[in-house]
Amino acid sequence: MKPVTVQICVGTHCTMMGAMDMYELLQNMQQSMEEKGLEITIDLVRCFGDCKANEAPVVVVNDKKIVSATSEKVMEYIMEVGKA
Amino acid sequence: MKGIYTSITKIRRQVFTEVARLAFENGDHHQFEDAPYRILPGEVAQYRDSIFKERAIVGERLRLAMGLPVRRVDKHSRLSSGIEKVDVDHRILEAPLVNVIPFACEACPTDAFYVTDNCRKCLAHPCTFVCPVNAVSIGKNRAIIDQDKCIRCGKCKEACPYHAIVRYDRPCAAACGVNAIESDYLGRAEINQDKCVSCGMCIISCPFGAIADKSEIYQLIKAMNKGAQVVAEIAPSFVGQFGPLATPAKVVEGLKRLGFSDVVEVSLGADIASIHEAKVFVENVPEKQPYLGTSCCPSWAMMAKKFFPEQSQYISSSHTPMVATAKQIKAKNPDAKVVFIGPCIAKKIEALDEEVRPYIDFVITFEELIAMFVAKDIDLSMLEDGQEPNDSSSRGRSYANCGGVAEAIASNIRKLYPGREVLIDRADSLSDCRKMLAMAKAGKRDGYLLEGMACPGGCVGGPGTLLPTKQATVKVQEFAKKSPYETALDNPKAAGAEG
Ligand code: SF4
Ligand code: SF4
Ligand code: FES
Repeated sequence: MKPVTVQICVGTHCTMMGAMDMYELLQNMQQSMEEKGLEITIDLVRCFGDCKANEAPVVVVNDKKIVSATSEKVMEYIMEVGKA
Repeated sequence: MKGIYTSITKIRRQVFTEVARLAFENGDHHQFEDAPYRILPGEVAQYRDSIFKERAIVGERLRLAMGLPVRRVDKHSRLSSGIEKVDVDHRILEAPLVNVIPFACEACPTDAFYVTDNCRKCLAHPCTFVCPVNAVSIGKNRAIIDQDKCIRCGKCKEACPYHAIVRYDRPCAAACGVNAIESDYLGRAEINQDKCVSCGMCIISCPFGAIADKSEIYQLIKAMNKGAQVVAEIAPSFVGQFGPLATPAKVVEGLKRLGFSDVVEVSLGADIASIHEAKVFVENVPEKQPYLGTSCCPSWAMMAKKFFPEQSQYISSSHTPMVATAKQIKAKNPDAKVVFIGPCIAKKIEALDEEVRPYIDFVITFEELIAMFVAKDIDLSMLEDGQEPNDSSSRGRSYANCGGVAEAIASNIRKLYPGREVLIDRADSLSDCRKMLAMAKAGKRDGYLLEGMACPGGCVGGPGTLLPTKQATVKVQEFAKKSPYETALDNPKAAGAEG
């Protein structure tokens, strides 16, 4: 499986919209996925500017930006990219 | 549902942001009437069956966030009714703090055993045989429990080999450590205010978002708009709450940009209080009082008052860290208004107390504060570092984690009175706090220092926090290590201050 890099925006707006809860969830997933051979790197990054358009929280998986992200959306995409 | 971000959390925070924005922009009452449409645009329901109901619920949340009471459903009134009274620049908060929005409540069934689809209607059906009151019978498709007969012993649940029998309570009531949740005539949750100690656990536990507390952000922002000098005192659990890039120094800078004239760590007051409580302990326990309970958690102290009235005198009356810090601020600057910013909603009630009122002007939570940052477009991660706070010792900063309070007091005792032993017991969660006090009442905690915290994990687990408790605990420890002072007694700002 291809390694996946996940960038979670932890600017103030995204933090309010649950970025750190998402981080906690992904961290848990990171461990269980590693056992299955999927390597996930998580970076916590600064504001992308998308919150201005009311699109927080923002998560980038490899090159794809997910706005108004939910953990469901993000995990689904991680699995897609990982398998491809 | 702490640690899991749900649409309920989202709406709550959108409501705070909207109210903060209205206040910063000095918006008029029309804008308030429109607010539900800004939060929930369009004509399609997103969360419930009807957009009308969704907006009506958001409307009540907006009212509570303004400090207004929930409206009655059986009488006509405008969303903004009563707004003139709260559109002011001083405290207007009144009890009850924690409110059920009745029509948002789905009247979840109360504590009972239920037979699920797992039931195979087996030949042996041991559930019927083990029930001591004959409440289980076998129906057409599955076992049936007669709820009128059931005495909730759980024997049937244990006996079923398919785990077909479950027990569940309504989430609000299960979270309440003092059994304050009762039912109204429609079976909806109703809070018995004589029992409620405003811990806020039901607020974060209701999966329908039907319970909310009142907020003071609107009046606070109005005071700042008017140019009042407002000093922020920020509770020790603040570290990391606004994201990992929002270092303590950046949080201070952000608060100044919001309009606060100064920022002080409440752990300074924790240092002052811990020295005081160390002395009280050594001078009084066990001769004058059998044990000493810590004073910092208002829900724990309120619980003692309401449920163990004869024991509550043993909970330290030393002013809490919130008050001790405010005294320092007001001594330097008598005209300043003081805002306590913390993880706690019970502090809002503590601040209404006759003895506390003169020192604390407003109480808000971290969650309400981040909404203020967002409303003002302040991104903490992009700010220059301000001055890193340096008001307190490592032990004072550790007050935010369970165990930290008793340890801070005990370390003062060890330093001040070498050789003196301190027995410690502690509890974090109201139901465990009750059990601990019951033990103390029975004479089984004589000679002890008792640390009581209503929130699981301590203040870092409070209802007004944003960071999952596990992460927050670590952040608090890291920041505590950075203090140059190990204990309160090493802190020049605390030693010698009046507790
Ligand atoms: S959990 Fe929520 S919806 Fe269920 S009874 Fe309690 S307040 Fe009502
Ligand atoms: S004591 Fe806490 S959980 Fe119980 S009703 Fe009051 S705020 Fe809710
Ligand atoms: S804070 Fe995340 S995009 Fe701006």
